[in-house]
Amino acid sequence: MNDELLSAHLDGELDAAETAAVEAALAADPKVAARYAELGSVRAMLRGERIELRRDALERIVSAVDAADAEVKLAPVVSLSSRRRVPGFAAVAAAIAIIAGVVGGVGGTASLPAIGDLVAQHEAAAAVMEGSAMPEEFDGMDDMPMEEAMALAPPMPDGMAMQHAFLDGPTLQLVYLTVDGEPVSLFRHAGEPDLDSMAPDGLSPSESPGMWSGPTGDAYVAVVDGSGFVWVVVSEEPHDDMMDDMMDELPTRSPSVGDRIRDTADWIVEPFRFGD
Amino acid sequence: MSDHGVPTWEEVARDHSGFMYSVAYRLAGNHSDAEDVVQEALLRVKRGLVTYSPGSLQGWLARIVTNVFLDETRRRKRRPQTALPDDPDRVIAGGPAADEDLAMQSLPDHIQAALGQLQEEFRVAVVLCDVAGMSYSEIADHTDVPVGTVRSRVSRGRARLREVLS
Repeated sequence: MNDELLSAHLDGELDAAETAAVEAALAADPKVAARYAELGSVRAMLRGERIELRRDALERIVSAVDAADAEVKLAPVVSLSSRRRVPGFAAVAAAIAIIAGVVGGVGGTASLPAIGDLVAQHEAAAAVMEGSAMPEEFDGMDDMPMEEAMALAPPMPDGMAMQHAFLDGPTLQLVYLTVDGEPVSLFRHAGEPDLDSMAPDGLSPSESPGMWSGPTGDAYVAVVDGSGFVWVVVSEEPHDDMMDDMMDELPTRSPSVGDRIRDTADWIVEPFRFGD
Repeated sequence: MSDHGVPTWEEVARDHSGFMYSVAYRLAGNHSDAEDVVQEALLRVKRGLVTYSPGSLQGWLARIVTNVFLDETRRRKRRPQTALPDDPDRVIAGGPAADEDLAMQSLPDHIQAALGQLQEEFRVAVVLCDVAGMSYSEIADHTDVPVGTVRSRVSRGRARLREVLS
Protein backbone atom coordinates (compact mmCIF):
# COMPACT_ATOMS: atom_id res chain seq x y z
CA MET A 1 0.00 0.00 0.00
CA ASN A 2 1.68 3.18 -1.13
CA ASP A 3 1.55 6.67 0.35
CA GLU A 4 -0.30 8.05 -2.65
CA LEU A 5 -3.34 5.87 -2.03
CA LEU A 6 -3.26 6.55 1.69
CA SER A 7 -2.98 10.28 1.16
CA ALA A 8 -5.77 10.34 -1.42
CA HIS A 9 -7.97 8.31 0.94
CA LEU A 10 -7.52 11.00 3.57
CA ASP A 11 -8.86 13.51 1.06
CA GLY A 12 -11.74 11.34 -0.06
CA GLU A 13 -10.34 11.30 -3.58
CA LEU A 14 -10.36 7.54 -4.27
CA ASP A 15 -12.89 5.56 -6.24
CA ALA A 16 -14.85 2.77 -4.59
CA ALA A 17 -12.41 -0.01 -5.46
CA GLU A 18 -9.38 1.92 -4.26
CA THR A 19 -11.19 2.93 -1.09
CA ALA A 20 -12.03 -0.67 -0.33
CA ALA A 21 -8.43 -1.73 -0.94
CA VAL A 22 -7.05 0.94 1.37
CA GLU A 23 -9.52 0.16 4.13
CA ALA A 24 -8.74 -3.52 3.92
CA ALA A 25 -5.03 -2.80 4.20
CA LEU A 26 -5.62 -0.48 7.16
CA ALA A 27 -7.52 -3.20 8.95
CA ALA A 28 -4.97 -5.89 8.20
CA ASP A 29 -1.61 -4.19 8.60
CA PRO A 30 -0.66 -2.08 11.65
CA LYS A 31 2.28 -0.59 9.75
CA VAL A 32 -0.04 0.72 7.08
CA ALA A 33 -2.33 2.09 9.77
CA ALA A 34 0.60 3.83 11.44
CA ARG A 35 1.72 5.39 8.19
CA TYR A 36 -1.84 6.50 7.49
CA ALA A 37 -1.94 8.17 10.89
CA GLU A 38 1.36 9.97 10.20
CA LEU A 39 0.12 11.38 6.92
CA GLY A 40 -3.15 12.31 8.56
CA SER A 41 -1.36 14.19 11.31
CA VAL A 42 0.46 16.33 8.75
CA ARG A 43 -2.80 17.04 6.99
CA ALA A 44 -4.54 17.94 10.25
CA MET A 45 -1.66 20.17 11.29
CA LEU A 46 -1.91 22.24 8.13
CA ARG A 47 -5.69 22.35 8.16
CA GLY A 48 -5.86 23.30 11.80
CA GLU A 49 -3.49 26.25 11.68
CA ARG A 50 -5.15 29.47 10.60
CA ILE A 51 -2.64 32.26 10.12
CA GLU A 52 -4.36 35.47 11.10
CA LEU A 53 -3.78 38.77 9.40
CA ARG A 54 -3.51 41.49 12.00
CA ARG A 55 -6.12 44.22 11.88
CA ASP A 56 -3.58 47.01 11.37
CA ALA A 57 -1.94 45.08 8.55
CA LEU A 58 -5.33 44.58 6.89
CA GLU A 59 -6.10 48.27 7.21
CA ARG A 60 -2.77 49.14 5.60
CA ILE A 61 -3.39 46.71 2.77
CA VAL A 62 -6.94 47.91 2.13
CA SER A 63 -5.77 51.53 2.07
CA ALA A 64 -3.00 50.67 -0.39
CA VAL A 65 -5.41 48.74 -2.62
CA ASP A 66 -7.91 51.61 -2.56
CA ALA A 67 -5.15 54.07 -3.43
CA ALA A 68 -3.83 51.95 -6.27
CA ASP A 69 -7.29 51.37 -7.67
CA ALA A 70 -8.21 55.02 -7.45
CA GLU A 71 -5.20 56.12 -9.47
CA VAL A 72 -6.72 54.87 -12.67
CA LYS A 73 -10.18 53.39 -12.50
CA LEU A 74 -10.20 50.18 -14.43
CA ALA A 75 -12.61 50.12 -17.33
CA PRO A 76 -14.51 46.93 -17.90
CA VAL A 77 -13.47 44.75 -20.78
CA VAL A 78 -15.43 46.28 -23.61
CA SER A 79 -17.15 44.61 -26.46
CA LEU A 80 -15.59 46.30 -29.41
CA SER A 81 -18.19 44.81 -31.70
CA SER A 82 -20.63 47.44 -30.50
CA ARG A 83 -18.39 50.34 -31.43
CA ARG A 84 -18.17 52.33 -34.64
CA ARG A 85 -15.59 51.57 -37.25
CA VAL A 86 -12.82 54.04 -37.99
CA PRO A 87 -11.46 54.44 -41.50
CA GLY A 88 -8.73 51.96 -42.09
CA PHE A 89 -9.23 50.15 -38.82
CA ALA A 90 -10.70 47.03 -40.38
CA ALA A 91 -7.73 46.79 -42.67
CA VAL A 92 -5.39 47.05 -39.73
CA ALA A 93 -7.33 44.46 -37.75
CA ALA A 94 -7.47 42.09 -40.67
CA ALA A 95 -3.76 42.44 -41.23
CA ILE A 96 -3.12 41.67 -37.58
CA ALA A 97 -5.50 38.74 -37.69
CA ILE A 98 -3.43 37.23 -40.43
CA ILE A 99 -0.27 38.06 -38.51
CA ALA A 100 1.19 39.60 -41.60
CA GLY A 101 4.82 40.42 -41.96
CA VAL A 102 5.89 37.21 -40.37
CA VAL A 103 9.55 36.78 -39.69
CA GLY A 104 9.50 33.26 -40.90
CA GLY A 105 11.89 30.51 -41.67
CA VAL A 106 14.22 31.25 -38.80
CA GLY A 107 14.86 27.88 -37.32
CA GLY A 108 11.35 26.93 -38.33
CA THR A 109 10.22 27.23 -34.72
CA ALA A 110 7.73 30.06 -34.65
CA SER A 111 6.91 33.42 -36.10
CA LEU A 112 6.73 36.92 -34.77
CA PRO A 113 4.13 39.44 -35.92
CA ALA A 114 5.52 42.41 -37.80
CA ILE A 115 6.40 45.20 -35.39
CA GLY A 116 4.67 47.72 -37.62
CA ASP A 117 1.43 45.78 -37.32
CA LEU A 118 1.69 45.64 -33.55
CA VAL A 119 2.29 49.39 -33.45
CA ALA A 120 -0.81 49.90 -35.59
CA GLN A 121 -2.78 47.65 -33.27
CA HIS A 122 -1.59 49.67 -30.28
CA GLU A 123 -2.57 52.93 -31.94
CA ALA A 124 -6.01 51.55 -32.75
CA ALA A 125 -6.55 50.48 -29.13
CA ALA A 126 -5.29 53.86 -27.89
CA ALA A 127 -7.76 55.60 -30.19
CA VAL A 128 -10.56 53.48 -28.75
CA MET A 129 -9.65 54.46 -25.20
CA GLU A 130 -9.41 58.13 -26.07
CA GLY A 131 -12.95 57.92 -27.34
CA SER A 132 -12.07 59.81 -30.46
CA ALA A 133 -12.49 56.86 -32.73
CA MET A 134 -14.72 53.90 -32.10
CA PRO A 135 -14.24 50.89 -34.33
CA GLU A 136 -17.39 49.05 -35.24
CA GLU A 137 -15.68 45.73 -35.00
CA PHE A 138 -12.32 44.22 -34.27
CA ASP A 139 -12.13 41.50 -36.88
CA GLY A 140 -10.70 38.26 -35.63
CA MET A 141 -10.34 39.49 -32.08
CA ASP A 142 -11.95 38.05 -28.99
CA ASP A 143 -12.47 39.94 -25.78
CA MET A 144 -11.13 38.11 -22.78
CA PRO A 145 -12.53 38.00 -19.26
CA MET A 146 -10.46 40.30 -17.12
CA GLU A 147 -9.48 37.61 -14.65
CA GLU A 148 -8.16 35.41 -17.43
CA ALA A 149 -6.22 38.30 -18.89
CA MET A 150 -4.76 39.18 -15.51
CA ALA A 151 -3.63 35.62 -15.01
CA LEU A 152 -1.64 35.84 -18.24
CA ALA A 153 -0.20 39.26 -17.56
CA PRO A 154 3.31 39.63 -16.20
CA PRO A 155 3.90 41.30 -12.84
CA MET A 156 3.36 45.00 -13.33
CA PRO A 157 3.72 47.93 -10.93
CA ASP A 158 0.52 49.10 -9.28
CA GLY A 159 0.52 52.26 -11.35
CA MET A 160 -0.15 50.27 -14.50
CA ALA A 161 -3.87 49.59 -14.78
CA MET A 162 -5.06 47.05 -17.31
CA GLN A 163 -7.86 48.42 -19.45
CA HIS A 164 -8.46 46.02 -22.28
CA ALA A 165 -7.37 42.59 -23.40
CA PHE A 166 -7.69 41.12 -26.85
CA LEU A 167 -6.74 37.65 -27.92
CA ASP A 168 -6.03 36.77 -31.51
CA GLY A 169 -4.58 33.33 -32.06
CA PRO A 170 -1.15 33.21 -30.47
CA THR A 171 -1.06 36.95 -29.81
CA LEU A 172 -2.57 38.50 -26.70
CA GLN A 173 -2.70 42.28 -26.46
CA LEU A 174 -2.95 43.79 -22.99
CA VAL A 175 -3.57 47.52 -22.92
CA TYR A 176 -2.59 49.45 -19.81
CA LEU A 177 -2.92 53.05 -18.77
CA THR A 178 -0.15 54.64 -16.78
CA VAL A 179 -0.90 57.01 -13.92
CA ASP A 180 -0.56 59.80 -16.46
CA GLY A 181 -3.19 58.25 -18.66
CA GLU A 182 -0.71 57.15 -21.31
CA PRO A 183 -1.74 53.94 -23.09
CA VAL A 184 0.81 51.16 -23.25
CA SER A 185 0.29 47.94 -25.14
CA LEU A 186 1.93 44.73 -24.02
CA PHE A 187 1.78 41.95 -26.58
CA ARG A 188 2.35 38.38 -25.47
CA HIS A 189 3.10 36.23 -28.49
CA ALA A 190 3.26 32.49 -27.87
CA GLY A 191 6.22 30.74 -29.46
CA GLU A 192 9.97 30.72 -29.37
CA PRO A 193 11.26 32.26 -32.58
CA ASP A 194 15.02 32.29 -32.88
CA LEU A 195 15.32 35.99 -32.23
CA ASP A 196 19.05 35.82 -31.66
CA SER A 197 19.61 35.18 -35.33
CA MET A 198 17.68 38.20 -36.44
CA ALA A 199 16.96 41.80 -35.55
CA PRO A 200 13.17 42.01 -35.15
CA ASP A 201 12.01 44.45 -37.79
CA GLY A 202 15.04 46.65 -37.55
CA LEU A 203 15.14 47.08 -33.78
CA SER A 204 18.54 47.21 -32.16
CA PRO A 205 19.81 44.50 -29.83
CA SER A 206 20.41 45.82 -26.33
CA GLU A 207 23.18 44.97 -23.93
CA SER A 208 20.96 42.48 -22.16
CA PRO A 209 20.54 39.16 -23.98
CA GLY A 210 17.25 38.35 -25.63
CA MET A 211 16.16 41.96 -25.93
CA TRP A 212 15.73 44.49 -28.74
CA SER A 213 14.39 47.99 -28.64
CA GLY A 214 14.15 51.28 -30.42
CA PRO A 215 11.83 53.92 -31.86
CA THR A 216 9.59 52.85 -34.70
CA GLY A 217 7.72 55.67 -36.38
CA ASP A 218 5.98 57.63 -33.63
CA ALA A 219 6.14 54.77 -31.14
CA TYR A 220 8.72 53.24 -28.87
CA VAL A 221 9.05 49.49 -29.03
CA ALA A 222 10.84 46.85 -26.99
CA VAL A 223 10.98 43.14 -27.76
CA VAL A 224 11.85 40.79 -24.90
CA ASP A 225 12.42 37.11 -25.49
CA GLY A 226 10.69 35.29 -22.66
CA SER A 227 10.47 31.60 -21.95
CA GLY A 228 7.97 30.29 -24.45
CA PHE A 229 6.75 33.79 -25.18
CA VAL A 230 7.90 36.96 -26.84
CA TRP A 231 6.85 40.20 -25.21
CA VAL A 232 6.49 43.33 -27.32
CA VAL A 233 5.88 46.61 -25.53
CA VAL A 234 4.61 49.61 -27.48
CA SER A 235 4.06 53.11 -26.16
CA GLU A 236 4.12 56.62 -27.52
CA GLU A 237 6.29 57.87 -24.69
CA PRO A 238 9.86 56.76 -24.04
CA HIS A 239 9.67 53.94 -21.52
CA ASP A 240 12.17 55.53 -19.17
CA ASP A 241 10.15 58.75 -18.88
CA MET A 242 6.94 56.79 -18.40
CA MET A 243 8.36 54.74 -15.55
CA ASP A 244 9.93 57.76 -13.85
CA ASP A 245 6.54 59.47 -13.79
CA MET A 246 4.97 56.34 -12.44
CA MET A 247 7.48 56.06 -9.63
CA ASP A 248 6.54 59.52 -8.42
CA GLU A 249 2.91 58.50 -8.13
CA LEU A 250 3.02 54.97 -6.84
CA PRO A 251 1.30 54.40 -3.52
CA THR A 252 3.40 52.58 -1.00
CA ARG A 253 2.34 50.61 2.03
CA SER A 254 5.62 50.51 3.86
CA PRO A 255 9.28 51.25 3.19
CA SER A 256 9.91 47.63 2.33
CA VAL A 257 7.05 47.64 -0.13
CA GLY A 258 8.40 50.85 -1.61
CA ASP A 259 11.70 49.10 -2.22
CA ARG A 260 9.91 46.15 -3.72
CA ILE A 261 7.99 48.40 -6.09
CA ARG A 262 11.17 50.12 -7.08
CA ASP A 263 12.77 46.76 -7.77
CA THR A 264 9.76 45.77 -9.83
CA ALA A 265 9.77 49.02 -11.72
CA ASP A 266 13.48 48.65 -12.31
CA TRP A 267 12.89 45.17 -13.63
CA ILE A 268 10.15 46.43 -15.90
CA VAL A 269 12.05 49.41 -17.20
CA GLU A 270 15.45 47.86 -17.69
CA PRO A 271 14.54 45.85 -20.76
CA PHE A 272 13.03 48.95 -22.29
CA ARG A 273 16.04 51.19 -22.04
CA PHE A 274 17.25 52.36 -25.38
CA GLY A 275 21.00 52.17 -25.07
CA ASP A 276 22.93 54.46 -22.78
CA MET B 1 -23.85 40.74 -0.85
CA SER B 2 -25.42 41.75 -4.15
CA ASP B 3 -28.68 40.39 -5.46
CA HIS B 4 -26.72 38.03 -7.68
CA GLY B 5 -24.78 36.39 -4.88
CA VAL B 6 -21.57 38.20 -5.70
CA PRO B 7 -19.89 39.69 -2.62
CA THR B 8 -18.86 43.29 -2.57
CA TRP B 9 -15.22 44.21 -2.47
CA GLU B 10 -15.60 45.35 1.14
CA GLU B 11 -17.10 41.99 2.11
CA VAL B 12 -14.24 40.09 0.51
CA ALA B 13 -11.65 42.20 2.30
CA ARG B 14 -13.45 41.95 5.63
CA ASP B 15 -14.48 38.31 5.59
CA HIS B 16 -11.91 36.53 3.44
CA SER B 17 -8.61 38.36 3.81
CA GLY B 18 -7.70 36.02 6.68
CA PHE B 19 -8.18 33.01 4.44
CA MET B 20 -6.19 34.66 1.66
CA TYR B 21 -3.45 35.49 4.13
CA SER B 22 -3.25 31.89 5.37
CA VAL B 23 -2.76 30.64 1.82
CA ALA B 24 -0.30 33.42 1.01
CA TYR B 25 1.74 32.87 4.16
CA ARG B 26 1.98 29.13 3.62
CA LEU B 27 3.14 29.71 0.05
CA ALA B 28 5.46 32.65 0.64
CA GLY B 29 6.90 31.64 3.99
CA ASN B 30 7.09 35.01 5.70
CA HIS B 31 4.79 37.83 6.73
CA SER B 32 6.24 40.58 4.58
CA ASP B 33 5.94 38.64 1.34
CA ALA B 34 2.55 37.24 2.38
CA GLU B 35 1.21 40.76 2.96
CA ASP B 36 2.51 41.83 -0.44
CA VAL B 37 0.82 38.84 -2.04
CA VAL B 38 -2.48 39.60 -0.30
CA GLN B 39 -2.28 43.26 -1.28
CA GLU B 40 -1.76 42.44 -4.95
CA ALA B 41 -4.38 39.70 -4.80
CA LEU B 42 -6.96 42.02 -3.26
CA LEU B 43 -6.23 44.58 -5.95
CA ARG B 44 -6.89 41.93 -8.60
CA VAL B 45 -10.04 40.90 -6.75
CA LYS B 46 -11.27 44.47 -6.63
CA ARG B 47 -10.68 44.96 -10.32
CA GLY B 48 -11.88 41.53 -11.35
CA LEU B 49 -14.89 41.06 -9.10
CA VAL B 50 -17.22 41.85 -12.00
CA THR B 51 -15.98 38.67 -13.68
CA TYR B 52 -16.68 36.44 -10.66
CA SER B 53 -19.50 33.96 -11.11
CA PRO B 54 -21.12 32.75 -7.90
CA GLY B 55 -19.55 29.46 -6.90
CA SER B 56 -16.62 28.56 -4.72
CA LEU B 57 -15.50 32.00 -3.60
CA GLN B 58 -12.61 30.64 -1.57
CA GLY B 59 -11.45 28.55 -4.52
CA TRP B 60 -11.50 31.65 -6.71
CA LEU B 61 -9.61 33.66 -4.11
CA ALA B 62 -7.07 30.85 -3.60
CA ARG B 63 -6.42 30.76 -7.34
CA ILE B 64 -5.78 34.50 -7.42
CA VAL B 65 -3.46 34.33 -4.41
CA THR B 66 -1.56 31.45 -5.97
CA ASN B 67 -1.27 33.28 -9.28
CA VAL B 68 0.16 36.33 -7.54
CA PHE B 69 2.62 34.16 -5.64
CA LEU B 70 3.74 32.31 -8.76
CA ASP B 71 4.05 35.58 -10.71
CA GLU B 72 6.28 36.96 -7.99
CA THR B 73 8.33 33.77 -7.86
CA ARG B 74 8.91 33.88 -11.60
CA ARG B 75 9.83 37.54 -11.39
CA ARG B 76 12.42 36.86 -8.74
CA LYS B 77 13.87 33.97 -10.69
CA ARG B 78 14.27 36.17 -13.71
CA ARG B 79 15.62 39.07 -11.75
CA PRO B 80 17.13 38.08 -8.40
CA GLN B 81 16.98 40.89 -5.90
CA THR B 82 20.27 42.15 -4.55
CA ALA B 83 20.82 44.16 -1.42
CA LEU B 84 22.46 47.54 -1.67
CA PRO B 85 24.40 47.91 1.59
CA ASP B 86 25.24 51.53 0.90
CA ASP B 87 21.53 52.43 0.93
CA PRO B 88 20.54 52.77 4.61
CA ASP B 89 16.81 52.89 3.89
CA ARG B 90 16.99 49.66 2.00
CA VAL B 91 18.91 47.88 4.75
CA ILE B 92 16.55 49.08 7.46
CA ALA B 93 13.47 48.20 5.45
CA GLY B 94 14.65 44.65 4.98
CA GLY B 95 13.83 43.57 8.53
CA PRO B 96 10.43 43.11 10.08
CA ALA B 97 8.94 45.68 12.41
CA ALA B 98 9.18 44.88 16.11
CA ASP B 99 5.53 43.90 16.47
CA GLU B 100 5.73 41.85 13.31
CA ASP B 101 8.80 40.08 14.63
CA LEU B 102 6.91 39.24 17.81
CA ALA B 103 4.01 37.86 15.82
CA MET B 104 6.40 35.73 13.80
CA GLN B 105 7.89 34.22 16.93
CA SER B 106 4.48 33.19 18.19
CA LEU B 107 3.64 31.22 15.06
CA PRO B 108 4.41 27.53 14.60
CA ASP B 109 7.57 28.14 12.61
CA HIS B 110 8.42 24.47 12.34
CA ILE B 111 5.50 23.92 9.99
CA GLN B 112 6.51 26.85 7.86
CA ALA B 113 10.13 25.78 7.86
CA ALA B 114 9.12 22.33 6.69
CA LEU B 115 6.91 23.76 3.95
CA GLY B 116 9.81 25.92 2.85
CA GLN B 117 11.87 22.84 2.17
CA LEU B 118 9.40 21.53 -0.38
CA GLN B 119 9.91 22.19 -4.04
CA GLU B 120 7.48 24.79 -5.30
CA GLU B 121 5.17 22.41 -7.18
CA PHE B 122 4.77 20.18 -4.10
CA ARG B 123 4.28 23.15 -1.77
CA VAL B 124 1.61 24.64 -4.03
CA ALA B 125 -0.23 21.31 -4.23
CA VAL B 126 -0.16 20.74 -0.48
CA VAL B 127 -1.17 24.31 0.37
CA LEU B 128 -4.02 24.38 -2.13
CA CYS B 129 -5.26 21.05 -0.79
CA ASP B 130 -4.74 21.42 2.93
CA VAL B 131 -4.86 25.17 3.52
CA ALA B 132 -7.20 26.32 0.74
CA GLY B 133 -9.28 23.12 0.90
CA MET B 134 -9.41 22.67 -2.86
CA SER B 135 -10.22 19.30 -4.43
CA TYR B 136 -7.71 17.49 -6.61
CA SER B 137 -9.66 18.34 -9.74
CA GLU B 138 -9.76 22.03 -8.79
CA ILE B 139 -6.02 22.02 -8.17
CA ALA B 140 -5.45 20.20 -11.45
CA ASP B 141 -7.47 22.82 -13.33
CA HIS B 142 -5.64 25.65 -11.67
CA THR B 143 -2.12 24.30 -12.04
CA ASP B 144 -2.74 22.82 -15.48
CA VAL B 145 -1.57 19.31 -14.62
CA PRO B 146 -3.47 16.01 -14.60
CA VAL B 147 -5.38 14.97 -11.49
CA GLY B 148 -2.99 12.04 -11.08
CA THR B 149 -0.08 14.44 -10.87
CA VAL B 150 -1.89 16.42 -8.18
CA ARG B 151 -2.51 13.22 -6.22
CA SER B 152 1.17 12.34 -6.46
CA ARG B 153 2.34 15.83 -5.50
CA VAL B 154 0.07 16.06 -2.48
CA SER B 155 1.17 12.63 -1.31
CA ARG B 156 4.88 13.24 -1.81
CA GLY B 157 4.60 16.69 -0.27
CA ARG B 158 2.93 15.32 2.85
CA ALA B 159 5.43 12.49 3.08
CA ARG B 160 8.31 14.93 2.86
CA LEU B 161 6.71 17.19 5.48
CA ARG B 162 6.34 14.20 7.76
CA GLU B 163 10.05 13.39 7.38
CA VAL B 164 11.08 16.95 8.13
CA LEU B 165 8.74 17.35 11.10
CA SER B 166 9.56 14.06 12.75
